[in-house]
Amino acid sequence: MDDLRFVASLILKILMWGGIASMAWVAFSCDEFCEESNRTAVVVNFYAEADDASLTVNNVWIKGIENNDTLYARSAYSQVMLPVNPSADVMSFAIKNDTLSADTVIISYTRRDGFISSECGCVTYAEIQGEPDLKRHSITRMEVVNPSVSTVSYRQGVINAENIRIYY
Amino acid sequence: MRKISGFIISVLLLLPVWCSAQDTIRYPINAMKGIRVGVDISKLLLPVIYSGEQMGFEATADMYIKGNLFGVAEAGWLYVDLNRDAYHYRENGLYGKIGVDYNLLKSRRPYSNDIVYAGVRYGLSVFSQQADQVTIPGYFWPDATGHRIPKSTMQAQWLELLFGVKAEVLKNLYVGLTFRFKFKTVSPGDDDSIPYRIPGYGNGNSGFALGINYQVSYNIRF
Repeated sequence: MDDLRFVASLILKILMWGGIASMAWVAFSCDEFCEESNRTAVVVNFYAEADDASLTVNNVWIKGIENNDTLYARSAYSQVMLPVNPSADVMSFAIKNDTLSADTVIISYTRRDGFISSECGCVTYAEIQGEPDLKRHSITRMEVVNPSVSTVSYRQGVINAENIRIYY
Repeated sequence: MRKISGFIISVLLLLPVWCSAQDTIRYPINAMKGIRVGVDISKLLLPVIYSGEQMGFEATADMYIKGNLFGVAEAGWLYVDLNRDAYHYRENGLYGKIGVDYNLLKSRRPYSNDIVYAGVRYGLSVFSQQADQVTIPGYFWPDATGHRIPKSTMQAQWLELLFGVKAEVLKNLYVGLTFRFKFKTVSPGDDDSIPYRIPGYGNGNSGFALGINYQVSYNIRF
């Protein structure tokens, strides 16, 4: 009888702690909400041609040529992010600042899709091919420093990543 | 005379042993002989917990080695099927773990096979993942629909520290509960595609994972 009581109490303890533990386990295993890091974009930093220093450009205006939609509307930036088009292997942007005429930047890339999480789903990563095609007016030159385009967080402000340098 | 003195000396030499044997009853810490095989009940409940999106199976085997040590091997399988609006993701893989348990319970019950233990495991998993019917939001651009992520094979490794209890509820039949703390040592090699789950480990995106097992096992004596 003593043996049965001991075994029964041990089983009850196991079941009790098991129930508490499983609730905690399910709570811990719940997926997080999707953050904005499920977007991929080409990170572009502006530089001064004269001294290679970081440059804040006034009145930056950027429009997507394929969709005729405005991405940046007349504000000052030292860094902009050009979203990757997941349906195409090339994307084009018109870029203006204080000038009247726009520079045209054409970026070619290869795409590969990847799974991020159950909440965020999938994203399209990109690998920039060669140097962007540039029809320039005020931009002096462009340079690809990192062709691998990954996810970016739009909440973070200026981020420590760089795909392309634009020199004025 | 020599025989008598020899007898007296022998009695005097053996007296402490005889006395200690009478005053202290020594119980063997581990009397389990044989190999104990079992299944993890919590893995069988995965379809219930995750609404059919996961299913799995895990078997265990452990055997008393010596002292307070048990050698342990575990193996299992996990299948994941996530069918959402933006994708249909599937994952399928096997895993194995090997390690030892150390019995912390100095039994006060004669010939008790109940144990409270701490243990370590090293785990390895090989699994595949793929996705189809994928819609990728374009945000600035139009959404991309009908994409596929081709099937790729990955592997991961990890270290586990665990604490548990096993109680012999009927002769040779054990029920057990284990808490596991897992630390990834080798991540899946594909940085672009993060697996939803690593079979046997947990969240594919995390360097640390917790786990709980309910096990029923049977000791096969030999």
